[in-house]
Amino acid sequence: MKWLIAILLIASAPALAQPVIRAENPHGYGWWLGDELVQRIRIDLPDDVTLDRASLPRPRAVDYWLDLRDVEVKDIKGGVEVTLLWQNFYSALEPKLREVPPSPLRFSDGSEAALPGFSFVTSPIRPITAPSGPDQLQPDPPFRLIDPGFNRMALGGSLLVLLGALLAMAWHQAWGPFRARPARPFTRAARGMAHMPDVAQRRRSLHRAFDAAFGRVLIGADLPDFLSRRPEFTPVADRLAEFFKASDAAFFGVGPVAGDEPDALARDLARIERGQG
Amino acid sequence: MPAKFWYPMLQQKIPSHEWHARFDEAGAELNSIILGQRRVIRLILLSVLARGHVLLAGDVGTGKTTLLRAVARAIGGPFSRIEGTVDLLPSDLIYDAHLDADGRPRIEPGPALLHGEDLSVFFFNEINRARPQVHALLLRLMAERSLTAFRKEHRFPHLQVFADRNQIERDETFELPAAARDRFMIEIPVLLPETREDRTALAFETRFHDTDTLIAGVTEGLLPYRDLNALGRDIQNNIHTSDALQRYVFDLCDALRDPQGAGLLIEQADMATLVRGGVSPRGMQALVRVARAAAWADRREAVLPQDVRDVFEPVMAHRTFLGPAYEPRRDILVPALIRAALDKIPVPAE
Repeated sequence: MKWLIAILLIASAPALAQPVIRAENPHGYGWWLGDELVQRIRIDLPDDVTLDRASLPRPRAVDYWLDLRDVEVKDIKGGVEVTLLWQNFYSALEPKLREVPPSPLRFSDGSEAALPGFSFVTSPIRPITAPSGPDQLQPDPPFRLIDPGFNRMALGGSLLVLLGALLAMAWHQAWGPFRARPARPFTRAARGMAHMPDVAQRRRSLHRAFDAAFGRVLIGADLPDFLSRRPEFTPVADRLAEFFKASDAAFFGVGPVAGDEPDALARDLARIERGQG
Repeated sequence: MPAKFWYPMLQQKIPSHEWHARFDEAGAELNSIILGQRRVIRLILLSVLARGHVLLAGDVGTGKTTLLRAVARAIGGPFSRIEGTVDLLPSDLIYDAHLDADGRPRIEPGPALLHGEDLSVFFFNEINRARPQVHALLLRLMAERSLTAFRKEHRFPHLQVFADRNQIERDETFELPAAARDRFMIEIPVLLPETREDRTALAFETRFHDTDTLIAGVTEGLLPYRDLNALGRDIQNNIHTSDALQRYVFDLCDALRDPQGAGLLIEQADMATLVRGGVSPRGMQALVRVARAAAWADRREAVLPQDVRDVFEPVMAHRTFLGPAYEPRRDILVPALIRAALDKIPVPAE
């Protein structure tokens, strides 16, 4: 007797290592056209064996009356749980038993099994002799419009932020309109001087332009230094010296002021500055 | 010595154009015996015209004493000199205590009194080695041009004090207090001659080896010291300073007092804490006096901004006191501050 048990145990050992499939099928009656049937299948797997997911059935129209809508696999302790979502499109004229076919499965150790099929009874929705008419259609369900105001405002705000960021970047990178233009102090001074009634004011304005062109305050004694740094003004060196001499006389001297009005000089300097000398 | 230049006894007023010729001649003669110090000589001569005391800051052996002796000869007045030491007492300036031939102690006039009231150049060498008591006496001598000694007040109407600061050693020195530095009209840096030719000539040409004969090459009394005060007064009274120039001087001095307010920027310094004490009214007055002298020297009737710029640094650098964090770097920061002010302050301003 002990031997027999031992033999049975040895013989059953490989069988224990096989995957065990337990199905929780939908109930067998009371299904109508369009109903979804959920089938849960639990597969207990040995430690070193996994389910080959490529062997699972893919969602498709299985038959003219049956769709497999969804296949979901979830790992659970000691195996996997497969949930199949079927939908019945069989338009029954009378209560009828339908068979859902099994599908084959493969495991990582090469062994094969099948997801079990099941059967259910489906029934007609209404009496087969009842007349059909448009008034039998149900009215559409009431619908609600989504208010897009907030989203539109958010879109506008985002566009503004984007525009601002682009402008800031263009400024930072000196792109397009922000590209640094050469400063043209003489041009600016020549323009401004046209509106100044006082000759001293016009002279001072030209002095400030010289300061800007020199990078620091320019006085008459710095003129050679200025000309060596901005040689484009050399052709008017004599007039510059004359201007500074006259300006010294006007602002610091005691004698009468000699020399021309500074306007013509400012215009000529502006022309040289713009490269039209 | 050509007789035509020896006027002091005649008390005859020298006409203005002749003063100009004499001034130029003095400059040329000094430059011919002191090589490579053209700017120093010009500043010293300007200080002579402006009647101000001078602080010399220079390296050892750059010819400061030779230069001062030559200037004293050109002025024609007596020259006296004293060495600052840590044990020098104020009375050592005035009295000379010694034993006479009979072994009896005698008190005679010291360096300051030795030449009487005609003393025109007094050279205080290494002034920062002397103690503050000595500074105090010297300051009175400088400010009031008078001393009390032998129960009598002595006046030195022609006196001009030159002082030299030792800049190498720090031990046993007494830095001049701010009030003392402010009384020096200008501080002139005396550096090595720049060119190789000048330095080689100073070493190899034998005429530079004997100081006495070298100085004898300067015409004595070219700028007669008795007339200098009158000339200085004339210059100050007659050289015109316009409103625009006054504004420029004010703006420059103000920028040194408050560099942040003037918008100056210099590297590695916080402009709000950089300056602790700036230009005093006396400093501004000194600037105007020296600038007028510079305008006169260039034969102009009015001061121009270039005159102010020319003398701004020597007049202002030693009067600018930096915050404690910046004082150790003043050799770099003060010139940078002055350059920034000159570069930034507009002239003529609105």
